[in-house]
Amino acid sequence: MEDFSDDQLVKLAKQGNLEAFSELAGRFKQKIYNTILSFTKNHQDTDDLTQETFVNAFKSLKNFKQCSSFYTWFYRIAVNLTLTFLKKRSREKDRDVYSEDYSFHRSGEASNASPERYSLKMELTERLNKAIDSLPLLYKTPFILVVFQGMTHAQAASVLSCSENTVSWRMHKARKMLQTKLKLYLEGG
Amino acid sequence: MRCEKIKKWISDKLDGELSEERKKLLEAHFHRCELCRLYDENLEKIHEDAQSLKVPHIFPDYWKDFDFRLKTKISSCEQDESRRVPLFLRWKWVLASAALIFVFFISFFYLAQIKAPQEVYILSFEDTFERISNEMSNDPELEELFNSVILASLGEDIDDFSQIISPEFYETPLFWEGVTEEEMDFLEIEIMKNIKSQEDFHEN
Repeated sequence: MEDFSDDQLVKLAKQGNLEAFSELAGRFKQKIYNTILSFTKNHQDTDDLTQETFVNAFKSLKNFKQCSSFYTWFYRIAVNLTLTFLKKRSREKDRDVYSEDYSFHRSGEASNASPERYSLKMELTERLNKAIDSLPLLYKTPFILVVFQGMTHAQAASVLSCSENTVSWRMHKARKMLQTKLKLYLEGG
Repeated sequence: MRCEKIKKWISDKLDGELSEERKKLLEAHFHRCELCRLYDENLEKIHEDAQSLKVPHIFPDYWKDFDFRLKTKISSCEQDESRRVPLFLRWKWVLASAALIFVFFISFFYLAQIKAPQEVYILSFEDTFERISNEMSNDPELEELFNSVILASLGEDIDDFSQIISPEFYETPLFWEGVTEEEMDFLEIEIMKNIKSQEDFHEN
């Protein structure tokens, strides 16, 4: 199964082959998990949503017409589920949402960096995390897909069911907001 | 305004979506505009930092547990799917009842249509005559016209009027009992006309 292409696996999975679907799930689970975690910042919710994404994908696989790539279709399910969840969560204002410290952190910190510089970088990273988190979902979603997941504007547009130009404008606005929020730190660092 | 457009191009450049031609125009703009050049530098820093942000490490044991739970869920989904009765079968009794009621109504209307007598409007002679006589009682001209038409039609059907007014006819008492005063006047006029015409005929 490992040698099979995504399309071949999709065809097999559509015929009810569980092994093929497991292989597909294995290929995408890490990316899907990371994307959802970028939104929720919470392991438990991410776990639930990732499971739900795969179960939903399995259920609606028969309706997948292969007009778009499986990767895009899969992401669309994950993003839609996550956005619905986040909107629901934001409505439950009174409820105490359990949140873990799953903020992103810099990888491979240079151990040879001076303590002052390291401290500045850490602060900027923390500020960046908060700034990204505070973006409205409309701008945060394409930002996560393009910057964190490395998608092109066309791929992100396909996932979000909008035009490439819309993605481009939202990316521009998201960056403008981030720049305004981090201006002091950027110029100071 | 132009700088706003340039800022969007900077964003596109960071995503690898800017054409080479525009990249050259962008560089040329940076030589003239310090603010846009600074904006570009800031965005590059943000982009680099954002790209270097990593999610927490997920242990392999987590994925083993994840796969196991997913397989269990999917298996139960498949079982539910196989157990699920098709929609039309779940409503079979309702559909059957609806079909039965439909058939019943159709047959009822069909039979009713066959048994019902054909509704034909027949204007009875008595009613017609009554209406005409009512009309004529108020209109002497109409009465005269009616009488002439009736007589003309009788004349068309019967060539010899004397065949009807036979001597036996005059002599029947039952006939005279049923004749009204108006009819008597009419008969008198007609008889007089007849006698006069016979006299004229003999004179000629």
